[in-house]
Amino acid sequence: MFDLEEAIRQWRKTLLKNEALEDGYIAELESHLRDEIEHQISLGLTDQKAFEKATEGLGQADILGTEFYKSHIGRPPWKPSRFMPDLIWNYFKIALRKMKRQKGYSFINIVGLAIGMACVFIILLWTQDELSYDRFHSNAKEIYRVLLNPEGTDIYSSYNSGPMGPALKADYPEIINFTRIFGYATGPLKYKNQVLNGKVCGVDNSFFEMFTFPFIKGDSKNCLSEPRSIVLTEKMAARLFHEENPLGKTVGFEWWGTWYDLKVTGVIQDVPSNTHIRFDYLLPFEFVTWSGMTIEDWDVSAYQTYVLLPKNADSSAVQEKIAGTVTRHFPEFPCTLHLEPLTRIHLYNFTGGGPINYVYIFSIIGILILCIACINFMNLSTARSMERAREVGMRKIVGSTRAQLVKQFLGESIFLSFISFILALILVQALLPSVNNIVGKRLSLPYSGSPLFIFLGMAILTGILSGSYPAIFLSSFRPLTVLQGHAISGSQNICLRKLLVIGQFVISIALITGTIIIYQQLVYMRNTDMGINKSHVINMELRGGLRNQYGTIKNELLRNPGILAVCATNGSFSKRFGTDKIGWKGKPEDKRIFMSIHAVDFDYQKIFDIKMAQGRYFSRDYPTDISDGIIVNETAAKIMGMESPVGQRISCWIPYDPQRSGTIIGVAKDFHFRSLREKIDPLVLVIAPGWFTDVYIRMKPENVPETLAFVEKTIKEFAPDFPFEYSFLDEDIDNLYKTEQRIGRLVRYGTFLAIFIACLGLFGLASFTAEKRTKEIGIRKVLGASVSGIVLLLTKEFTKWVMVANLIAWPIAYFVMSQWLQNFAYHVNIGIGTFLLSAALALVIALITVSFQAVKTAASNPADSLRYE
Amino acid sequence: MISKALVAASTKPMILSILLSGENYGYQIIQKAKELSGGTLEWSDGMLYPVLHRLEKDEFIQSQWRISEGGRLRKYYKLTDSGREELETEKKQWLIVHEAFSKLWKPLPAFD
Repeated sequence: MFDLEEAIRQWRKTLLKNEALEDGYIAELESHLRDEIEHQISLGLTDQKAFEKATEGLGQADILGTEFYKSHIGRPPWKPSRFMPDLIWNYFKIALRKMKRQKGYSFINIVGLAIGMACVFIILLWTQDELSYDRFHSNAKEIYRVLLNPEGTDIYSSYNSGPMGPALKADYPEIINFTRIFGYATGPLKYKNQVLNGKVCGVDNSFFEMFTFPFIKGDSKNCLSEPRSIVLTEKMAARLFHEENPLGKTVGFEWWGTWYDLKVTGVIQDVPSNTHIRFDYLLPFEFVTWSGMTIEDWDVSAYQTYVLLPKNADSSAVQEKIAGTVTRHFPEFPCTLHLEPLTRIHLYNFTGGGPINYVYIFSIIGILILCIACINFMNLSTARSMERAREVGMRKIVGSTRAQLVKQFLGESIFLSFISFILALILVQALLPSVNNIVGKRLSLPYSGSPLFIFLGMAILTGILSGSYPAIFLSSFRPLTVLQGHAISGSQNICLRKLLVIGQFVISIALITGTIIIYQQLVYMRNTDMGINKSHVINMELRGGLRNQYGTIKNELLRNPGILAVCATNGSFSKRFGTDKIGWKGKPEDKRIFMSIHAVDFDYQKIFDIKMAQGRYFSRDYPTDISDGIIVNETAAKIMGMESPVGQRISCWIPYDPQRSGTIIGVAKDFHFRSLREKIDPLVLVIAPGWFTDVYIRMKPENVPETLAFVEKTIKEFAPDFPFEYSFLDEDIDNLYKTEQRIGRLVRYGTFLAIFIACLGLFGLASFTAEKRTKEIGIRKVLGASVSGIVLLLTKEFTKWVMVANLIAWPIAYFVMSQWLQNFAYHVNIGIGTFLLSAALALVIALITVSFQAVKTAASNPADSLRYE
Repeated sequence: MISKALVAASTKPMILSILLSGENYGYQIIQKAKELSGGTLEWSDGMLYPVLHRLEKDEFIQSQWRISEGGRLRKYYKLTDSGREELETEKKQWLIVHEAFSKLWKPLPAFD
């Protein structure tokens, strides 16, 4: 039987569920319902039907409720507001008070986060710079560099022959434009009495049609179509001309001993740092012919060629089409052409890999550091949760909802992360100069624009991420439990915490090991016996007239007793020539064997202290040595397969005398004439004065500055126009390992950072466990445990974790570092001592961190911790 | 049927106009609105109350609980002075719209 009153009561109950509907509202709705029911009954419906119809007309409770909300009547008075401005001030005060009360913790928290953020910011700036390479050209996406792959090799060379570019443009409509670049050589410019060295490039006039290098003065059209024209960068122009207007002026340019007068036809903005095309001034491409070099020969590969494709062109289709161009024009050279996108040149090796890997690695490291910093922040905050438990309890009792508390704690951590953010910005600003020094870039902190917003967004995200767990954890406390003084159980998290701390120590230990090995390798490279005497030797280029007057200069220099030997050669230590055109009896026909050639004179032995294994060195007593004498090193003798090399005849290619042949008069003991990354190459020494480009001078160790002054004076006499530039051989050799030194420094800083952050994590964990075990320690002390015993008890566990971390880190470090050492033909071996050392270091650092907290806990008065039981 | 948007727009002036003839309670207001429009103006019953409360909050109407003859609790609404003013402005606006439409829809005169 349908009971109308009962049905209405039930209906009222369903309305009560919706918080928007107040009692008054419900009474009004009920009155309406009753009226409607009466009306329906009067129309002849049964009670039940009338009730159903009436309730249907009124609508569901939740829909009614939202209607009430929607009409902005507002929130029922008993509901706490979503946003209470009065409380914000209170939250702020509490946050500041907490910071003040726990200076140490706040400091660690904020600084830890700030360091993490600073690190990420720097990585972000660096990544952004790396990714921006060569993208500033408006045609960047359509420009490709042509690579040449000789058949049967895996070499992809960017150096091509002169006629290739014009041929490509003529043969294929897809190649809209091309430009060739020759150079990246150093050449002097003269204006009035001033001579400056600068990096020169010879380019086709189309260079400016393809690349975007804005002109300050002059016009990009035809500025290099005159054979004797020059375009300067802003900086070069300012250095040469100071206040004068350079346009139309004539500057001198020296190339292979001759001065040329060139007219300045344009000044362009300085080349930005994020490009692989770097120069100080540009000449017409044809300048290369001034030295007798040809640009018409398909067999001379010395020029880089860039081509422009139409927008949205399918580069792989074009590449397929042009692949055989060179071989078609010049059948003697079987090879294929490939297109390398301009924007990939800096970061990608054509055959795979390349510096992009560093971008990935550093990005991952950045994210890891930020995560670890966040996790530590969480750990420290939750570890201190006991202190806030009562606050949470009180707040809940006086009416805080959980959502409100979550907001409070989140707000607090965002506030902290914002302080860290500002600190991080200051840190980045302070660190950037030295970072720039290490990475060789010009990074700067942007004070406007999107990167700053990205940073700000990251700071807020960090705040939310690192605050979310503590916020949820803290707000979950039951007021009754915490106010009764019961400890909060957080045991399910302790395992996670342990894992995190172990993970951080794995990273730290691996990095410590890496640092030690890199350091060992650097020391090894510096101290290893290269088979030469590298101290007190200077190297300088033979410029201008110096080459022609070398004999006189040498005699002049040797008159000073401080100078032991002078010897000219065909390159500096880092710049050496190799050729496959050395011939000997029994040379395999099908293999290309490269050998290094040093053009030397009689005193090369004195400079490098070369020891002979067989035969003799060049000697003035044998006049035929000049044209017929050849010395090879042991490696070369082995490769040529000669049992008694002395006396054998071989042919030796020399640029101005390709048919040169001679008799081997001696075999030199192997010595390193390149970096230790490379194996000792087969080497041929030959006397070839026409090939001299550099000179080495060996000085007595005493009075080096005076000897240097003498050298400068003498050189100036012969070449008054040139800046006197020289370098010490040992420094040159050190410079070969710049990258390694750079990596070494980066890894070292990374290690400090990782250790610091890991210690933070450990500290958080230590204080958390100490907090949890306060009562246990109190009881132990009451029962007679000593302070030292308790410290031991507390530290023992941490020692165990660090040991576990060691076991994980060792194989990782071993694997990565042995990969790295593979870069060096001559390297140290990874010994067990390295691992023990890093383990010991990590352990000591960990113990120092932990014992601080352990001692504090152990020394506390048991009465304090047990009082409340 | 009248479109939802128009119903929503006309709810406020409609309630105020109905109350112009004297105080009334929710159920009656709805009935009256239905009656006047010949059933084409259909409010979902529940929707009216939030609007009434809103109007009360804006002080266009006042409410009072009373017990009717049948012993039923009823909440009566009464127009206030500012409610009258509000109705006047609403009225003006509606009349402008009305006038515009009547001009537009006047049967076109035949060729003069």
